[in-house]
Amino acid sequence: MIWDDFIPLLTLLTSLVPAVLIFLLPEGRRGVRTTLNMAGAVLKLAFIALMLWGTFHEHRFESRFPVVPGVDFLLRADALAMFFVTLSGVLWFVTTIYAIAYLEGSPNRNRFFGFFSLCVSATVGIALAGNLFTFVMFYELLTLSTYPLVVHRETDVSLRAGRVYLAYTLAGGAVLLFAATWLQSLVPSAEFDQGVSVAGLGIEHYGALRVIFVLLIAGLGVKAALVPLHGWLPLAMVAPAPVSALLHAVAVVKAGAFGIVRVVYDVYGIDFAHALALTTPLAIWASITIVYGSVRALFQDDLKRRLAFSTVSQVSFIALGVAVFGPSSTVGGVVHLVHQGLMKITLFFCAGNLAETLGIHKITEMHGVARRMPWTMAAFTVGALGMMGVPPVVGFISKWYLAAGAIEASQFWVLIVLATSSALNAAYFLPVLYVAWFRAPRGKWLLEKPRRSIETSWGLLLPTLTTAALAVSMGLLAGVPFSPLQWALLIVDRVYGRAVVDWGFAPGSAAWTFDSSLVVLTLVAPLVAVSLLLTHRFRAAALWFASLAALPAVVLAFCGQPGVAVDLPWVLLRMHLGLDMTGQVFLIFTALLWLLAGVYARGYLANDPQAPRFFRFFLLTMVGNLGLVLSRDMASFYLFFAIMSFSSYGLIVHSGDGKALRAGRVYMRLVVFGEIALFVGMSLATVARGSLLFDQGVAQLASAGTLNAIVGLCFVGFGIKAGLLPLHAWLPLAHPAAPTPASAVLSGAMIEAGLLGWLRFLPFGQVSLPGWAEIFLIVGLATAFYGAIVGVTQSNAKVVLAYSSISQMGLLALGVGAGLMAPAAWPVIAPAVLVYALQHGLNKGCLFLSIGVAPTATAASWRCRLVKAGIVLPALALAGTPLTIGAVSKSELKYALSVLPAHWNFAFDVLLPLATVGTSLLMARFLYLVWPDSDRAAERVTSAVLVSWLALLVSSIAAVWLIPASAGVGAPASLLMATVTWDNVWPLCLGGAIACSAWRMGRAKRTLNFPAIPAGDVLVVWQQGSRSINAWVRLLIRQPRRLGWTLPKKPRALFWRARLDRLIQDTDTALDGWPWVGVVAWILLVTCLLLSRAG
Amino acid sequence: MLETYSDPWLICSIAAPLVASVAAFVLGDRSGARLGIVAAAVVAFAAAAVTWRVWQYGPQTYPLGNWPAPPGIALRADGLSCAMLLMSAGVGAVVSIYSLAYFGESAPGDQRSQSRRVLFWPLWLTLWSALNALFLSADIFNLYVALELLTLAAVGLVALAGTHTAIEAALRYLLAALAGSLMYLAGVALLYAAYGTLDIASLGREATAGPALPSALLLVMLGLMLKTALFPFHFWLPPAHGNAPAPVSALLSALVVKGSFYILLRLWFDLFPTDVTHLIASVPAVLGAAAIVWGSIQALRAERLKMLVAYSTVAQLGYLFLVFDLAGHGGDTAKAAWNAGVLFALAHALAKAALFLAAGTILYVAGHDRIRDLPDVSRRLPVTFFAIGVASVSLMGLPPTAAFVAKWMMLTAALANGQVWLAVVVILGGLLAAAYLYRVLAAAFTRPGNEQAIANHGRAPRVLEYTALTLALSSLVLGLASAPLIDLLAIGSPWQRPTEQAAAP
Repeated sequence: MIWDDFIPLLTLLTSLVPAVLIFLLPEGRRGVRTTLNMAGAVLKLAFIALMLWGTFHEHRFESRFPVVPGVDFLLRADALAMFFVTLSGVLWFVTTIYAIAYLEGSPNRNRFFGFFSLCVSATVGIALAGNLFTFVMFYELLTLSTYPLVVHRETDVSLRAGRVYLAYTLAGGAVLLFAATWLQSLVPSAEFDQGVSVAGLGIEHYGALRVIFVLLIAGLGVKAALVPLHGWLPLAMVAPAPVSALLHAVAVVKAGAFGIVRVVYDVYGIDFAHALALTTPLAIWASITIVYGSVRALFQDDLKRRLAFSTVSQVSFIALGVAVFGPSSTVGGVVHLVHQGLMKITLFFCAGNLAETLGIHKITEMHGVARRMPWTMAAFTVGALGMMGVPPVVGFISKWYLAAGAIEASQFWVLIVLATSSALNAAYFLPVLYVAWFRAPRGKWLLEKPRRSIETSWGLLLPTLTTAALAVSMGLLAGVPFSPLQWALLIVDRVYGRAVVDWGFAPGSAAWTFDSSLVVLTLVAPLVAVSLLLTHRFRAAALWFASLAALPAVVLAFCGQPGVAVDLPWVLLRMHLGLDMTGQVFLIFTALLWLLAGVYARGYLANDPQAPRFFRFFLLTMVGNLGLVLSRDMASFYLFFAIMSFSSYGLIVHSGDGKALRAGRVYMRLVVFGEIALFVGMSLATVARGSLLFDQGVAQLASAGTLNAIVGLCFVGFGIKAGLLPLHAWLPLAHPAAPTPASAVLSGAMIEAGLLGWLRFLPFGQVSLPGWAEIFLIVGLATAFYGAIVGVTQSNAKVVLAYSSISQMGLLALGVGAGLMAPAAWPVIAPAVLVYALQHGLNKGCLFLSIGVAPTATAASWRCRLVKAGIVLPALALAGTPLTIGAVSKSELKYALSVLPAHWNFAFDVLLPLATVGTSLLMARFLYLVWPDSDRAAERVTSAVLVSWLALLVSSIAAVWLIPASAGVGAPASLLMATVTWDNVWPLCLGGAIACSAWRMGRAKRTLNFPAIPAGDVLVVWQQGSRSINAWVRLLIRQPRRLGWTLPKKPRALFWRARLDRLIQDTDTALDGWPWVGVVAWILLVTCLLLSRAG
Repeated sequence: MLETYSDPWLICSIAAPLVASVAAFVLGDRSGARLGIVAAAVVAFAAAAVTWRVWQYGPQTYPLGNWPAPPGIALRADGLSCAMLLMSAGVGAVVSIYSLAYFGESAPGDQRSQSRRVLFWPLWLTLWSALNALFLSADIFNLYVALELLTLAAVGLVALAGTHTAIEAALRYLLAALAGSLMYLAGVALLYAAYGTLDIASLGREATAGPALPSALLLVMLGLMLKTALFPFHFWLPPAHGNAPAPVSALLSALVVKGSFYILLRLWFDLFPTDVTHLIASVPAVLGAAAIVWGSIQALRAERLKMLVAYSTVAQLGYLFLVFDLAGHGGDTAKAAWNAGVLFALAHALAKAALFLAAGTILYVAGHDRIRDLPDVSRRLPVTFFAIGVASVSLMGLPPTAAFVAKWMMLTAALANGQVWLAVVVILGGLLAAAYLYRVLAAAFTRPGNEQAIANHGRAPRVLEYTALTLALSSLVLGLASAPLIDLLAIGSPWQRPTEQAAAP
């Protein structure tokens, strides 16, 4: 069809024509202007949709017009072009709405919108350009059309910014022009042809081609803000917010990054560029930019400047992705074009909302702003977390593919860059979130517009929420056709012909059964509850619904068939959920704990006005915890693990007092650290396995060269969650700080997620890793004893329990170590570990819940005695009293450990009973601290609290019967009977005796002076260290300026300028005389004569 | 392709302004403007007609008085002539319309304004006639005559302002131009003495060797360089262009300097054999490069807008002289360079005329053209500043203007030839142009300091604003439509002929 030849051109014209018409309009015609803008934007989207569909079906859209012989104006809709066009089309639409609201009532709006449309035309032109000539044309046009937007405010600052911007970009454009024409002189067509024609040049041109490549990248690097060509970007922040949003997210920086992709892939071709040894330097350059940008962002107080430096850093991921020579990293780089756009535009919209609504420009002014503008800050949170690479926001997908690609290409240093960048991103984004959400407002806002029904105008809020929603959904639903990821895969796969491994592919998808629906319902129910809690309308009902949201999980745990599997190929990197034996055991105690803690919380927080907020975090954490139990692939596990880890921050800081906030801070740092370690470990493991699925490629993993790194990273990443020494520091701070029901799930369920992580990620039963096994065993033992010793000295019941958890996790780590040491014995060890986890989860949860129940039992009635008995029972169980689940699990663990080499066996014969002594001491200390004080009046608690506590008590007593038969540990009754042995009794008696004598000594006022170890013990050392590091960093960064190491520029520059001026003037005077002209004419005449004679 | 005979439109484009000029002089004051507009219409139509014929039938020749060429005088139109003719017609017509308002009744109550108006039209129409004659001349002496006439009319126009500085600038211009003309005439004499003919085509065929050729080339080149104000012979241009009334400046910068460049371009490629020209091709190129840098530096330092624009002309003319070196390597790059040169000349004509007209408008409203105080008027004259913006884009050589296309071709040619330094100069020139034009453009985005300080009276007549914009926009459109233009230039171009000759036998 002949129309096809014009569609790319028409797409361009849909913004070009409105631009021209808007220039011609009188300033006051607001309605016409808006109509023009919106009509153009909608029409453009229609054309884009058409071209997307066509391109997907390999239809060719191409507009070609000869300009001069050999040079064509060529617009062509290939897959990569469509990627960028779609991004700019969609974001233009959104930004136009935003801009109309943002600039309401300000002057020069015709000029603004005219150039704004022109800017989009230029971007679309850059995207569709089919050869270098057209590309350069629109690239320069972009420079010109953005200048008026940068200086729109017409202040001195913005004029200066504009000047710098022009200087940088015009110089960059000039370099690009030079390089492009040079290339054209070598390759006459210079069309984007995946490097076919360039690669066809002879070897004598290679030198020139290298120089051209460097020049091209340098020219593009100015817009892409590669260090040190980024200087214009932070200054350009003076522009109005929609401009910053569009400049940063789409137009200018993306044009540069897109150009780099074009140059590497379409002009040179990746293979040829690699052969010329050009890709690695580019990757290094990009990496330097990534780190530099992040470091600079740390020190900005101005929100928009911080975002600008973040852009400097983030955009270079695109260059990094294309430069690392792996197909997956290309996917990561290319898809980041869109992903970064979505996230960054959201962030800038938010910054604009804050500035426009409350006059906030600085981070130090943002205290408590989330209370005033929760939706805006929610969008900001999405963007910020995405930048850090937290799933399910799109940033994770980019980073994941980048990491996988780097591993494929064996460029492991890229992982360090990614990890550093994530850490730095967290360091400069999380404080913003913290200040906004968890600090109290400081008083009146700088600028308070009359309050409307919503936090700001719809025109500002809707675009923000739209892009934020896109940023989440495009990540969560990355597998849906036409999602950015799928499109990027199509580009790399189809256009560049590089096979990308489908990590998430599972042969033979699972059939849909009733259980499958239950699996989905398990995760959906809490999410529905969260969304119900977002409005105030059905608050009471929503709270009840929230407290019971774990019900489907409990049903699934007890009624679900082991082996149920659900494949959700369009979620994330193909999500696979399911239930195996391990999962079922974990699900049993996890689901029970969450359900009962939920009901408990409903009663516990009955009078707390912040209960909805608590439940929102509670439910999200629940989704994370249940989800990770159900995950069958690493990406899903990571997703749920991250959701759980980040959401539980809200539980820890719920009370909002200084202690809680400090605990949250410590927790968050360790979480970020752990997430990064896990991310790297997971990418290494995936590439080693060749699959994301847990049950695939285990043998390959066991023989992989990166195995040591993987185990090490998992040890650290999950060790933080499990509280292994010395990564446990957050635990004794966080668990007590949270409200009691939250502590119960933290200590009972979430802490076990670390263990589950090890079970899932490490190649158990495949390979013996004696080195790592020893580390696990030693650290496990140390943790078990350390937890007990420090815990006994504590005077807060919750802290004691937290240390007990640490100690118990140390014992579990012994099982893991044994599994790594003796792969053959894994079938024996695994059930022991599972039973121990179950036991600990239920009992610890019960103990935490009893803290809330204990103050009710002050009287001497039989009812109170029953309650007291209920408090003592789980403590006894945990200590391993015969006939309890605790004793069963201890025996099992001991049996499992007997597979170890002789020297370890010998050690355990002595040490394990001692550990039990420690546990019994801890329990005694707990009971002492929590024991109802008969002098006090009984507190009343709601029936919800009592019922849920009782239910959990019953299930922990009956825990032996909860172990699924498939675990293969034997019949419950016989198991219990087998625990009545002297070995199990004497440590308890010893512990009891020590506790009794200590108690008696206390009664006799002969107190033992324990050294007061603060909760969080090693933290003191850490903090001291980090404080001095901080001081050093500050010294290094700030001092040069303060010491005046940077030279005072002005006088010297002025001096030289004056000299130069004088020189020019003198020359001019000299040139301006007849004698001079005569002389020159004469000289020329003679020279020319000589020249011609010589010839 | 046969050259068809006798096209009356050729002579019409020369005669019409000449007749109008005489009539305007005789009839005096009020008729001048009307006659000028009529002449503009006729010239525009004639140029279009000639171009149409050339496009359809190939190069056109008109032997004056029906006397065939060798002894008689012939006019000839090929693609290049047509392009230049169109340029002169287009720019001339728009400037004429601008002048209507500029020298009109509502002009500032200047004592001399009436005499300026009385003299402007006859002089301008003479200049126009001379210019068209120059573009259509087929022999080298005729070219001299046209050139001399052009100079004299231009000097008269410069002196029109009547101020002391204007008279001084005019005198300086006159002396420089006469010196240039004389050198050119000497070259012509040498050629005539050696080959006995003045017809370019015959000379091109016959003058293949001989001692006279290099000397003649030198004289012609030097003379024309002086007249085109190539560095370091530019000393006369900035005062002349900077002090003349705005429409005059526009005409001088856009058209008049192109006249002498046109002669050099034509003779260099049509008349002198390559083995002679390539010996000294680097001389104009080096001077051109120096002009680009020096002109730009001076423009950066200029304090008045019109001086800035005038120095910009010095710089931009430098690009034109790069062509001679770029085309020295033959083949496709030579053709591309030649095309680029012509395209650049046309683009510059449009953009520079627009810029001078806009400067005139600013002067008209503000009473001064100090760059420092430009923000004061920027709010009053949005259209004018928009025109300045578009024209600046063209002068910077940014897309989508014709100057960009021309620069692209120049750069490709330079790099294909391995003349990296030329490419660097071209790029540098663009950046310098951006730097000095930024000084003007920034005014549009700066808040006015003292809007009361400006001298005048409401707004400028709309004609003043929109004529400048028209020219600026046409330099933009020209870039998009350069393909047909290049096709036109190919007709009868030095690169076309060898194939014709090959096809003839």
